[in-house]
Amino acid sequence: MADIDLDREAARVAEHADSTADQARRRFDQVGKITGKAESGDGSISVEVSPGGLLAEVNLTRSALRFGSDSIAQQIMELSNLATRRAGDKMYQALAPVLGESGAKHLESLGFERLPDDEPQVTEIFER
Amino acid sequence: MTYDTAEVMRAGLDTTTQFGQKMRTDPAAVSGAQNGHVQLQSSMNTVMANAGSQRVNLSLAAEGNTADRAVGTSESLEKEIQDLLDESAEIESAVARAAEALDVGRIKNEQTRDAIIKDIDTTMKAVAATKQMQPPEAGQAAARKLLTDLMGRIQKLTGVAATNAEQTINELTEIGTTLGGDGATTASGATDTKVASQFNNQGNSGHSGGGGGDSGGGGGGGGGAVTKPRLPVAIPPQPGTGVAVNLPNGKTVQAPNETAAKAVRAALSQLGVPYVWGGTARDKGLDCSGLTMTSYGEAGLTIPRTAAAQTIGAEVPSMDQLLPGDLVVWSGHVAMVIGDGQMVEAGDPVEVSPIRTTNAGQSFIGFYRPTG
Repeated sequence: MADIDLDREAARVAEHADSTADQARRRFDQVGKITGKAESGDGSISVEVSPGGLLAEVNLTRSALRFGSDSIAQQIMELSNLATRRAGDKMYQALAPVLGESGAKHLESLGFERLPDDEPQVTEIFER
Repeated sequence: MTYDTAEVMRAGLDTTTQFGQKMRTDPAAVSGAQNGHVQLQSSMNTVMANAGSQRVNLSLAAEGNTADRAVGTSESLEKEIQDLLDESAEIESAVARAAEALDVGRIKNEQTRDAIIKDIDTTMKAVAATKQMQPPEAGQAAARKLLTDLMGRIQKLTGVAATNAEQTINELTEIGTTLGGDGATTASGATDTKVASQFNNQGNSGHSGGGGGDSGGGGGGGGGAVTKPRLPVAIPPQPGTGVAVNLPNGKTVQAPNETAAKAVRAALSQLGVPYVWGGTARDKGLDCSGLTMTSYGEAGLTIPRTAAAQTIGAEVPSMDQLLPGDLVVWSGHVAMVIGDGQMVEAGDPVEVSPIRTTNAGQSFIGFYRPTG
C-alpha cells in the first residue's frame, strides 16, 4: 500500500466503531445493568459500584456501627475495591466477545479484566 | 467527550503521511540516470577508440619531440575518459543506492503508519463500545482514558517514524557526500593533466564530469528537507505599519498587520477553554493547532489543520524578531506569539506562557509568520 486515502481510512474506522457500538449496545441490553457488589462477612456492610469504581450504593446496618469508624472506613474501601474488580470482570465478559483479541488489551487498560480464580473471599477481607 | 474519527486519523497520521510524500521515489528518474550512464559510456568508448587509433597512427607516422608530446597527451586523454566513465558508473550506482535507501525508508514509514491506523482502529472500537456503558459518566471516563493512551502511543510511533526519516536522510547524505568527494578528486586529477590546445574541448568535458559529481552530492543532501519547508525569510515591519493589540497583562504591543492583530485577539479570547484532542470548537474545546487555526480563521486567513503543517508564510529567523501572530511550531505542537515575550497555546486549558523552543519529547521546527 503506497498512498492512502485518509478520508476512506477514516470512514472505514468510523464504520468499524459504529458497528462495534451497535454490538456493545445489544450486549448491554442482554446482560442488563452492570455493577459490582461486595458485602462484609456478616452482611453488615455492603457496597455497589459502577464499572470503573464509581460508588452507586453503600449500606450499613446498625450492627456494623459497633466496629468503630476506622474499621468501617477501611472495610468500605476494601469492599469497594473488590466490587470494582467484580464489575470489571463483568465488563470484560460483556465486551471481550465484541472487541475480540485485539480489543482485550484496551479493556485491561481500563481495569476490566477477568478475576483470578483465587479471588479473595469477602470473609477473608473482613477477618484480616 | 467530543471526538471525530476523521480528526483523530488526520492528526495521528499527519507525520507519517508527510514523511511518505517526501520519501517517494520516481522509478523513471532512477532508470533515466542509469540510461544516461549507458549512453555516456557508448559515446565515450567511441571517443576513446578514435583517440587510441589516432595515437597509434601518430606514433607510427611521426618522430621527434612534438610527436612524443602529442602521443603523451592522447594517452592522458584516454585516461581521463576512463576516469569519467568510472565516475559516471559511480553516479549511477549512487542513484541506485539512494533509491534503495528511500525505498527502505518509505516501507518502514508505511509500516509505522499502518501500525498507527491499526491502533486507531482497535482503540476507536473500544471507545465506541465503552461509551455504551451505564452510567454515561463511567463510559465517558473510560473513553477519555482510551483516547489519552492512544495519543501517547501515536506520539511514540511518530517518534519511530521520525527516527526512520532521520536515518534515511543520513544515509542519503552519506551517499551524496561520498559521491561529491570522488567528483572533486577526479576534477583535480583532470587539472593536473597537461592537455595540448587541440584537445582542450575534450579536457573540458572531463571538468564538467567532475561538476556532475558535485551536483549529484547536492541532490543527495537535498533529501534533508524532510522536516522543514523552505520559505522566504520574514521581513521586519516598517515604521508606522503596526496594529496595536492590548495584552492581558495591560501592555500594548504592535502586530505586523491587521490579520495578525485579529488572530492574536481571537486567540486571547479563548483563554481558559479546555484542551480537547482534535478539538476545533471555539469556546468549548480546542487542541493546540485548533486554537491557532480557528484564531487565524476568525481573522480571515485559512491555515492548515495540524501543527507541523502550520509552517507557512515566511520563516522568522530568530526569536528576537518574533512579532504578535507568529507561530512557534514543533513536530506535534504549535503556539501563537502574542508579544512581550509571551505566547498563547492550548495546554489544558488555553493559557499564556513565556516563548520557548522546547516541548517535551518533540523537535522544534521553527518560527513562522502566516501573513508572510
